[in-house]
Amino acid sequence: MILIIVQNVTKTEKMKLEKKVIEIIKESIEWEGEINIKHNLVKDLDIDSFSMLMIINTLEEDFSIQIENENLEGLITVSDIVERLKEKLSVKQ
Amino acid sequence: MKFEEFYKRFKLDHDVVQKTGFNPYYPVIQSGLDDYIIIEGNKYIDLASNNYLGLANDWRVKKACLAAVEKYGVSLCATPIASGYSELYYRVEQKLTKFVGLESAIIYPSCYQANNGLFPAIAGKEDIAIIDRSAHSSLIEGIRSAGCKIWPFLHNNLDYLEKILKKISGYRQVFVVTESVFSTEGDIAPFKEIVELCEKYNAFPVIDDSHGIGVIGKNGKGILEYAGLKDFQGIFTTSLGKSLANSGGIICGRKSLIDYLRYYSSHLVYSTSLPTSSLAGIEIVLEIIEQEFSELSKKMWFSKRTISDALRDSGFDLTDSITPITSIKSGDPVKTISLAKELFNNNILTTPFVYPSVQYNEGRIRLIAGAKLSESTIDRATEIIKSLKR
Repeated sequence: MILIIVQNVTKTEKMKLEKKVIEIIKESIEWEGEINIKHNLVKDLDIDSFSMLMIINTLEEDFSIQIENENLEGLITVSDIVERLKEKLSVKQ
Repeated sequence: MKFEEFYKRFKLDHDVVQKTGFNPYYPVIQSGLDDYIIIEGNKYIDLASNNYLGLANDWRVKKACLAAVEKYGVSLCATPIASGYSELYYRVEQKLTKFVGLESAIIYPSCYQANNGLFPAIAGKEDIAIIDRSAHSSLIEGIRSAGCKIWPFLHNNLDYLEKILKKISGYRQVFVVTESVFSTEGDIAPFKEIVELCEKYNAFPVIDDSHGIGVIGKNGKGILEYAGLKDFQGIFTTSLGKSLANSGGIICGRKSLIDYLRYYSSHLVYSTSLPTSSLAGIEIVLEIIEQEFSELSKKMWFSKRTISDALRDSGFDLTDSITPITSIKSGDPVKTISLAKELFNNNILTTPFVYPSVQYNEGRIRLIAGAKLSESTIDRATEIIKSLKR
């Protein structure tokens, strides 16, 4: 029972994070269409290094974290950003 | 590492050139910037250079440059801090200071060096630079080399800029960096509003006016005149190789900053001085602009409007330029270079911008029709454009 509650909370938090990340991406690239977590950052959303910097800077300020350059490697999809953010937040806690 | 392995790393991507059968870069020019320019023995209409006021081949400018060569030779073979600081250098600094309307100015060998040299001299790890995402590479590289945090803001977007200014805290200095006239789009930064935001959030404005000086403002004095900023407290940089038709770049601002840069900006201190011929050329161009801007500007705007109208009437998709820059939205690199080739094959020289200078699918063909072009040449360009109807 306890385990189920913990999983539910985590799922809710994850959904909140996804929503927030998508919101930041949309604002940073002036994207008017839908974005989902499976979208490829470069191929689907045309995100270049400057757009990525805008996204990362906003995440850093909004979540009071630091994301080093080496943490940006391997970010292919929106989901990858969410996962990386989750890791950062769990370390912080 | 073996030599072969080292040199193997340096390879160009020939894909676009192979697909289009055209390389528009590094054309070998065989004439000055006149009504036509010569490339490989053929005449081309020059819609590529930044010769806005058409002064690059003006006889008065050439005469002044030659007189300087007669007096000082071709080089003083020294950096300004050593024995490369001529009376002409000093005089032109004074005249540029007066022209721009700030306290002091210093001349670098190029605006790229000025922008590159500025930030390492004034900023460090404790600082942040918020920069328009379409700003010139020289500003971006300068900021990066200073080691401060860099945060791009959406192009000319004051709301986005203010959101960043509201969010950030804990930095020693906050710089807001932009260009006046954006070289690929031809639009103008809302600089008065940017300066107001800087005042509100205790940030420091830096502007590169390379495509604005000699072009915008009632008397051609650039962005500060255009925006009505009479007591600008930030930093102003500009190229001397566009409408001012020579070479070099300047940083202008408070005297204390400029004096500091004279001794601590390595890009200036360790570079050979701008040749005196260029300094003499700048001096006379400033005089010509003071006296003839109104007439030259009319010609430049006539050329711009005629070319823009012809392109629009022929179905080309243009950016919302409000300056003498006309820019065609040409799509991905292959489409962009193909269009540049088509224009080149019809004897019009343009400047194509492809990724990474612009975003991948947002290629641009830039056309600058300066005051030098005669009406008959403009008519010929118009005929050609109409024959390429989309």
